[in-house]
Amino acid sequence: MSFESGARRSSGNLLIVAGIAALLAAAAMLAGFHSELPALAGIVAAGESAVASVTASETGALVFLGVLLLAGALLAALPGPGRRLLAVARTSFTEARRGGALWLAVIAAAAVAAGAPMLDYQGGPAERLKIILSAGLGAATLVGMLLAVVLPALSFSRETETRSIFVIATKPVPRWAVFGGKLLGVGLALAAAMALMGAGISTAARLAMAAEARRAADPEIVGLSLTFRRDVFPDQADRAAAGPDGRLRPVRLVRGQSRTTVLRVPREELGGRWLVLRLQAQPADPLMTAARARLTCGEWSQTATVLRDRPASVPIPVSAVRDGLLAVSVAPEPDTAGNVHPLLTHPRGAVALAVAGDGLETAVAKALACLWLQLMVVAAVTLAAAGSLSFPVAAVAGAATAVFGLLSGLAVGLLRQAVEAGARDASGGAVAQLMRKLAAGALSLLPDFERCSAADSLAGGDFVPWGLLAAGVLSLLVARALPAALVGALAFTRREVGR
Amino acid sequence: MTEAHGRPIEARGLTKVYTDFWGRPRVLALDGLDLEVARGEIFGLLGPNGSGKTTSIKLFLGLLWPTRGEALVLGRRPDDVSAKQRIGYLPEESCFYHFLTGRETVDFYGRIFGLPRAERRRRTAELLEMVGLAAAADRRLGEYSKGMLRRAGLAQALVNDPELVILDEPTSGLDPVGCRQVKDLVLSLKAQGRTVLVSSHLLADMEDVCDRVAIVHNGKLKRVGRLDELLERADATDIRVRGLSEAARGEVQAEISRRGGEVLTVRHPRRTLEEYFLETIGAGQPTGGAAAEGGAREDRGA
Repeated sequence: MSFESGARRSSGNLLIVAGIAALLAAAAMLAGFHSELPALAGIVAAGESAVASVTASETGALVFLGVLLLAGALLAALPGPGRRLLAVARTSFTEARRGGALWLAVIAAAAVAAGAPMLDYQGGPAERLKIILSAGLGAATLVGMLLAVVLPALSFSRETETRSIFVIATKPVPRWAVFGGKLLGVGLALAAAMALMGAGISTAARLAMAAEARRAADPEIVGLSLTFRRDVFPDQADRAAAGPDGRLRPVRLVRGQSRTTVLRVPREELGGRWLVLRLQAQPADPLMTAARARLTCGEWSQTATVLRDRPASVPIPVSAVRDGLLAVSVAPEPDTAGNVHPLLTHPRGAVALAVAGDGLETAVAKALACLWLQLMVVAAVTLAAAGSLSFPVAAVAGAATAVFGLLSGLAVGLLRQAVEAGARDASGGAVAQLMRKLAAGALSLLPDFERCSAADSLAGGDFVPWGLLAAGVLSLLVARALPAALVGALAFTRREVGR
Repeated sequence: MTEAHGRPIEARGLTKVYTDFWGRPRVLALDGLDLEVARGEIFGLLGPNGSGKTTSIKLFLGLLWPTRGEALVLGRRPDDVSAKQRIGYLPEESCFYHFLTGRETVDFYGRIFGLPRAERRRRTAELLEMVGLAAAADRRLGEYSKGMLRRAGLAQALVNDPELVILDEPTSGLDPVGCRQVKDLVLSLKAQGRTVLVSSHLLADMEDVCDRVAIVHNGKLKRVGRLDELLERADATDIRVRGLSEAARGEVQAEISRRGGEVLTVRHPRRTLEEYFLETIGAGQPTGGAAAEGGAREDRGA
């Protein structure tokens, strides 16, 4: 056997796996985009299905996740490498479990749950819930990132240190399956850690809001709903907001003007006492961060403060609904100093009716699933480095990925914007333009965890769309973690483990 | 046992040069090794530390890639997964997952070999019993003594019922009882028709079990052949007699001198220290396998 022949054979196996993975990814993306098409067409033609923009993304996400799960099941069912990969994954998970890694998550979750009732806060229940969820998710991020760096880095360094790699490499299991098994095992350990953190965060929220829940049970008091709500845009888009090109445009409302939207209320929502309206608008003045608006539904009227790009939730009595329809008028309202700030309504509708959607636990689970996708990028990069390099190099690579990913919204985002702005600028000649485009392309390869972060949505009590998870699966798992894993597996395949 | 496919081990001009990070040659570990191991024999690879024994084995197993030359194992390249399916390997050191128990370790390697669950369970229990680890099967390997780890290593090496067994320093770290059991095990593997490649620097151990040996020194093959051929001194004769009187012994010596022979030594024969030790502790009889209680009695760090 020569060096080249051995590497060629292993690379051949890897190419088969890479090909299968690429086909699956392409099929999944096709399925996802196919389901997006009606929504895209609807938006472009200013049709009436703005609602489809949410539901289609979710369908795409579910199809996508389904394809991935199916691919995993098929892999597991394969008699050869698949089962061996699972055997390695199982041992890798056992290593993480018995090594005490999950205790870190248990301690952090217990700390979050125990600390919540002792939280001293000045705001209302919503603020308190927001603090708990933000703190809990922050703790989960910290614990998760630590484990995503340490577990894969240790996994290979221990193999080398104890030379157990000598034994596994002499068994009939392809190297890529050893690598894949380790990544899967680490992924399972991270998922278990996130599940523990999720339990801690949910417990913390329930404990902290127990008093409010008791008050809400009093029929005379309208308490804060602990249930997260799922936005559904009105099924009749405001045609007046459509421009000559058919695109929806925001409507600028000034003093004395109002905009009325008719919402169709789902039948199942009529059984309750209250509906939740979402006012999605923003101050027209770019310097303002908040403006007041008055919502009127028949005889009922209420003033709400809307933050820039942040929907405001307003409870409406069900009695305001007539024949299954709710007419809601929105108008600017003077602030406490008597100033009226023009209001810019959202292009997809000024008002949305919130219908029952995710509960607290589901919302937390979805947010942690988004976080898990970020962790898998860090784990894949760390494992790829650990498979062929030393523990310190792997740890640094993983930590750098985590930092870049977490700061993507700031540093990397600004850097990318600067480069893209430079690329749009015609000055500098063709070579400079090419360099800028290449730099912009290279920057787009950096992990961008903000694309799949539900932290803001969770803390704001917003619905965490499935589309966000789908975007995360695509942009993090498929576009970043998978290539990193393939490169790592290839490098590991070419490594002389017996040295 | 599966049907034969080529010689168990063949090496032609096998050379390994270790390089540094930049690819510059640093150490010539093996220099043009030519070797053939026949089916069903116990072949010993002898040499002092650093002579190239372990490098050879790693090349046969695909853990290292040759700089030059070629190695074939069971007629296939060492990186061929189908060949690895029929090989059992005990590494020089106890290279296992210390967070697993003995039972889980053997079971894990059974999974890797794709054994069905029922067979895996049966085989795991059988092997742990055979190497004397049944009582310690549910203790983690991190709590095992060195000798117990060697036994666990032997169990995992045999989990796939291998056609070719490669044992790197199998008696390292074992007490005399354990050494004897391993040697008996090696002999029993041969009796079952398997091929065994053993590497060791403990010459007495090798002498007891090997059919043929190769002596490697400084990366080069110095000698290879059957033990009785290599060790035979054609110019001397050993005669072992029982019940000879002093007078008769004198006459025999005189007769030898008269016929032109030279008497070099005349003494009462000695047992080996191993034979004496085993006889003393009552474990002198070969067990036909490694089954014994010794494993459970070993102390940690033995």
